[in-house]
Amino acid sequence: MLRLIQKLHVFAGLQTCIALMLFGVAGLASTWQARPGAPPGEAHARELDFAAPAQASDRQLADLLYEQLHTPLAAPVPDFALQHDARGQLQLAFYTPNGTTRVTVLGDAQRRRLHIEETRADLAEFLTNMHSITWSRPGSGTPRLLVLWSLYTELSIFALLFLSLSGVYQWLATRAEKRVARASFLVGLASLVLVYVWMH
Amino acid sequence: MYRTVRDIHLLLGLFAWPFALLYAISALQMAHPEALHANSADSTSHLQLTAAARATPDAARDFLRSHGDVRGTLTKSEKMADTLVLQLERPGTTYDVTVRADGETTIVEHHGNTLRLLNRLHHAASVWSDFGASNVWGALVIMVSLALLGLGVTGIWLWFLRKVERRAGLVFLGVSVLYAGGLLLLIRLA
Repeated sequence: MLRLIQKLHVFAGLQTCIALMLFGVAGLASTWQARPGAPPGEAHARELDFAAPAQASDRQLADLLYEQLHTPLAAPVPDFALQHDARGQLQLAFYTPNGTTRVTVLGDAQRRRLHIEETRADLAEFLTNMHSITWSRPGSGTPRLLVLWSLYTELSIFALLFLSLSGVYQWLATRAEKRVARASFLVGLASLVLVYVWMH
Repeated sequence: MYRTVRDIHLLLGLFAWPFALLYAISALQMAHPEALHANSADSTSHLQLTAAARATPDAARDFLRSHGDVRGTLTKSEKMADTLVLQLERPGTTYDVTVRADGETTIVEHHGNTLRLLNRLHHAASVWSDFGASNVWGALVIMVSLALLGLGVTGIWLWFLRKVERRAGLVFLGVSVLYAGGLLLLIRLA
């Protein structure tokens, strides 16, 4: 049994090592991004004409924008994300791991224009975004590359569960008496329990 | 060399494993919210704020922390007519506070269940908060992140040093690097 667990532990670790190390990088990057005074990403703004039927609904406008802007790796904007500013102008955003494209539909039904602000994610933000992509079914509207990536992260989540539990099992089965290991185990567990109680 | 790397891998893993479990469970909750519900229960309480405590949002926050059993970071403050609206948060719990001009204060607490707390802890990563517990958590996030990186490096190193399961291991590592690394590259260049 132990031999089999050891083998599976090695294979699961090698299979998901990129994701597990990405999770580590994302933890560090998120902490760095949360620092006070962290500059927001630089947005590049532009305006362009937008032809749409006069009676088009918000949903139809959003679908037209999705088709015309061709933002790489963006999914269609869901209904709940269609918003209006104080002037009643439609606002929506396309989020991708590489950044955000925010669009405001200006003007009236006769002559519409678009105000577009594009913010490119730097490498740290990109990696953080990648680590946060969760499982998407094929055919759900999510671009194919992101569906393939979500499959890998889904697998990695289960691998992380397995690696944690099988690692502790191997320690208990082979080197449970090692004092420094017991200390490390207790420090990790006690820190988590203390913060959990403090928070809760 | 092998024994040293193995001990480092063991110590890092034993420190990080409860956090890894927390992150894995909360990640599953986020990936499958229809199966794992992160809910919160609301409760309302009232108290009277002194004039000094109503002077600034920070003064109100300090008063609420000491008298109203409110714990968390001030995340929003808005003055509307003669009403002050505040929001305080700590992972898993949010307080919506409304302070009237006469000091009458209503606190609506949205207290998350365990899954909600795990979800919010997954997103929390700051050592610059004005809430002590959040800073301790942020420091732990840094340590666990470094441990994960260390586990990855020492894990591959151990596999390399052991010289067993080389062929099968190489297949798993190769697939991981090609598939995940390739996708990362393609997505970044898209």
